Amino acid sequence: MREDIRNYIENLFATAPRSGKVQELKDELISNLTARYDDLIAQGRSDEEAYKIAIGGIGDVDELIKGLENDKIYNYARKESDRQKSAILVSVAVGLYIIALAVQILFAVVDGLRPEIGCVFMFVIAAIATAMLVYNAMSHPKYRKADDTIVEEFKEWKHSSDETRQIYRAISSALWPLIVVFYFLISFAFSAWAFSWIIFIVGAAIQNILKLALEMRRKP
Amino acid sequence: MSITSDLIRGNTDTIILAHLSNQDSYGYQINKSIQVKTDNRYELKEATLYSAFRRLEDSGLIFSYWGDEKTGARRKYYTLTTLGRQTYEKNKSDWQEAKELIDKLI
Repeated sequence: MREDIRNYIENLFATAPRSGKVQELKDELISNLTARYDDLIAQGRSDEEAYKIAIGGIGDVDELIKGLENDKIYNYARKESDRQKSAILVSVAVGLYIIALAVQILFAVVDGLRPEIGCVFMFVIAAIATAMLVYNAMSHPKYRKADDTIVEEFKEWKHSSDETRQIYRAISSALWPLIVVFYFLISFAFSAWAFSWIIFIVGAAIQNILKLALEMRRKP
Repeated sequence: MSITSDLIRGNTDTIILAHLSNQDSYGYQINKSIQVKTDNRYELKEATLYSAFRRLEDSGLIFSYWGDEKTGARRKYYTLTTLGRQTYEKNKSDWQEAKELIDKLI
């Protein structure tokens, strides 16, 4: 009879996709049904009766299997494509920053080209890269509350604080290349090498102000 | 009976949390205790029980681990998280409040 329970479950799951989650559910069902069966036998029920009661208490597992599978596969596929999109955006943006610097150096080194125009190019390219990073940080799907429970509120809160962190990371990763660019621009344009390094200190201050602003936004 | 089971079904999650607030447990033990406490008047279908487990686990109210059984098949145990305990306390007081109001109304 114990084998019959196992066989019954195997049949029930015959069309279910084979995955770790489904296997776990199967094992869990079998172990609980067997425990129930053993318990009924101990109470003096016959093999047949115990088997029927145990099997009769299963209910509709189709929904359960469907919920388990569709959900996970769908989420996984979407997460995967989100990740790829995000990776492309970030790598292109980083590439653009490097190109921006290369353009500036080219304009500064080659005779006959005006470094000022190089600077304009560099700023335009850096602006595109920055826009890409900010877009990447902000375009992640927002967590939606499934219902009005504390858990959902907690998840939403957690998600929004993660989001703040992402925006902060994106902006500060754009900030520093821009500061370097700005440093060269000022230095070349006004030959201000003696004191233009102060830009870096200003940059650090901007970053901290940004951090503070985001922290304050987060607290209600 | 149908209104009764609808009412109970609406509180399945809290019933499971209540059981787990005393001790870690597995599917059959929870169902068995429901049967015993209700004098065999109510029991959960396995499918209902597992979808509740899944839901509670996804919400971070409980987590599961496989027991280390000496004899027989291994068992999947569930345990309350801190969040699960808080949710249980809140659901319980919500229920008390609802019960009080309904008692006044019907």
